[in-house]
Amino acid sequence: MKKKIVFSVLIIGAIALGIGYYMFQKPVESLRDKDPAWQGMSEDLYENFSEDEVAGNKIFTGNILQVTGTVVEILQNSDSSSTLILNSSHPVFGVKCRLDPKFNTSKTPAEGAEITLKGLCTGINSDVELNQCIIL
Amino acid sequence: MKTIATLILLGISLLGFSQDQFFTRNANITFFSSTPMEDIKADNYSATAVLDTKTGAVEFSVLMKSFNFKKALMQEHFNENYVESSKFPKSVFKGKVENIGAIDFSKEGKHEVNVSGEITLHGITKAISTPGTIAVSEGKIISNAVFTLKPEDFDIEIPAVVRDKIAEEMEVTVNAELEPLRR
Repeated sequence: MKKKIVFSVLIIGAIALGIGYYMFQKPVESLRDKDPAWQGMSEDLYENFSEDEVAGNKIFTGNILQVTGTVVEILQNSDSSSTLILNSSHPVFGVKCRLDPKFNTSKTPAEGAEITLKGLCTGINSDVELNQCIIL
Repeated sequence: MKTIATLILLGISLLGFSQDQFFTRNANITFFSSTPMEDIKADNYSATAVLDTKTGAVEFSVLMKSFNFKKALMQEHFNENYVESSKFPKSVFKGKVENIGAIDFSKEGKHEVNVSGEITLHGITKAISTPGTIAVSEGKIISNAVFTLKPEDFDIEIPAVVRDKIAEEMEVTVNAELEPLRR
């Protein structure tokens, strides 16, 4: 009986350690199969966020957004990933979307193309920022 | 926190575009912590920066939630437990390139500079001074600086259970390729 208890405790302990190790090592996941909390046009996202940053942070930041807009600028980052700027009514700023280099399988679109992508909203810093973006 | 946007809009509205202002919206900021237990690295490729080559005024602004970690749990702990990025979403550096007058921006070349100013992180503002480089190449300005920050200086508490895994000083590397502001 005592042996059974010791054995059971060891097994449970090993499983708990395994789960803990898996959780600790788990990489950041792709957003491809995750549902967006908000869908809309880049112009509307920028306007809503820039009008009231505090409210915008509550509504958008930390959420997955599905955004449609026109690519107005393409930036090459120093790690070879790309960042797309989607249009807004502002003369300089818009929605800045860093494509996820690990999971993004689509080709980088050309300037002027209308695209839809999913990304994790990280806030507003002159541009509204989306991270880990996947072109749909 | 809207200073960069204001500076840029002023540059555009007053001069059409400002010949002295250089700007980027995809500067790379990396922080690195190394201990015998574990190395931790996070990258941000979305920092905004503006440099005025006439006055030497420089400003960087970065969203804390835009730092990318390899491990999901590290990213979660960084945002929720350490820098509290929902409460303090941005980190901002405002300062000056002290010897900007010694640089001829019309000629290509690399220059050693010293940058000093104030950095705000986790709601705490501290003075900082660091050496760096500014290179003029193909009409762009490529800037680089490496410095260290102590989490405790910014009231960032590291729980005792992970104290051995997180270095007392973080190495911060800044790389930015700034272009003349025109749009």
